[in-house]
Amino acid sequence: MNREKTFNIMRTFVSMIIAVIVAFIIIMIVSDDPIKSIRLFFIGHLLNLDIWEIS
Amino acid sequence: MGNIIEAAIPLIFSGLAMSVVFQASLFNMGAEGIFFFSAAVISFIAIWAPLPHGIHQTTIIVAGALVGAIIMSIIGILKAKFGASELVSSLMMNNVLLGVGSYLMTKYLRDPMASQGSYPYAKTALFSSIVPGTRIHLGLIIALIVTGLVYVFIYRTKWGYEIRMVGQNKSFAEYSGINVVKVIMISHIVSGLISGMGGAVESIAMHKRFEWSMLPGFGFDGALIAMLANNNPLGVIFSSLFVAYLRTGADIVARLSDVPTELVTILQSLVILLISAERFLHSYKQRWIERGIGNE
Repeated sequence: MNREKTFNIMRTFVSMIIAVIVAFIIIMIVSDDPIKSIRLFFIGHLLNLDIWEIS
Repeated sequence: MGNIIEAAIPLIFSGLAMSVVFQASLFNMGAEGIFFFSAAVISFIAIWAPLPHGIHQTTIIVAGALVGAIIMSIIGILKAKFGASELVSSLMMNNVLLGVGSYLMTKYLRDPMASQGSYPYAKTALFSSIVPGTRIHLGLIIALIVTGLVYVFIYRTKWGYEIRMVGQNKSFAEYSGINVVKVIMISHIVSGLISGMGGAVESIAMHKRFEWSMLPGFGFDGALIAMLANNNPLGVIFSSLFVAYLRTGADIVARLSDVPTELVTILQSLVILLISAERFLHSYKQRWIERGIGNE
């Protein structure tokens, strides 16, 4: 793979990481319970949640 | 985890559809309307065609793909023969498709007994879950097969080569004897086939009846996914999973806390902005490439 392609892949990853950081900041600003919200946003899908019970 | 995969299935179809036209440097957003319209059209077959299990589903998927191909070929003809901007004509076509699809829904498909939605699809038309405890359906396997086929088409066939050549330099491709009109038509038709198939699969797998009253948004997601994947069909799978991860996360957080689901729209737009910004990290790119040349 040439270096330009590798760089484009890295650039895409940087964009995704920036988006995730922005998500983190937005949640911190708008949520009353940011820790819970961040946990739900990033790893909520991986947990076996009963969403009706938690709320 | 199942939620992410089931949400990624329509995104794979839309991402593939967009990556084919993007490979030819055509910015066509028609997949959005085609998802909606093909789902509306196949509803007639899904509700009323008395076909056996298997043949019924196959007929629906083929019909959805054909609907998509026909609609995309109209946009392709407008571009190739009349020089119409594919972006403008595809966005206008989305409105036309939304209007016609809504008409079909209100006039023929609406179930008077249901608050919203068409008559339910016949049982023989539906996809069932292939992983117990989740809603992951046969569409996943179809999506993976289509991904493989699109990869072979783009990177291992003459037509795919021509599409890539036109995408890299249209004038050069034209001077070297490539029929650009044919390439525009082929890329549109293939994109239409995939998006039409995606609309049909999503409808019979996840909805069980036609219930969309507005464009579902898969086409616009597809643009993001194709960009993230750098228009590579194999990359589409991973970028679809990433977008599905964001979407599912936003859904969960919207249900269980006070963060609105629009969060994901902001993130998607931000990623598109960063990826489409040619100058983003440009100075690092120069240094990176120069360092590579120095090492050689």
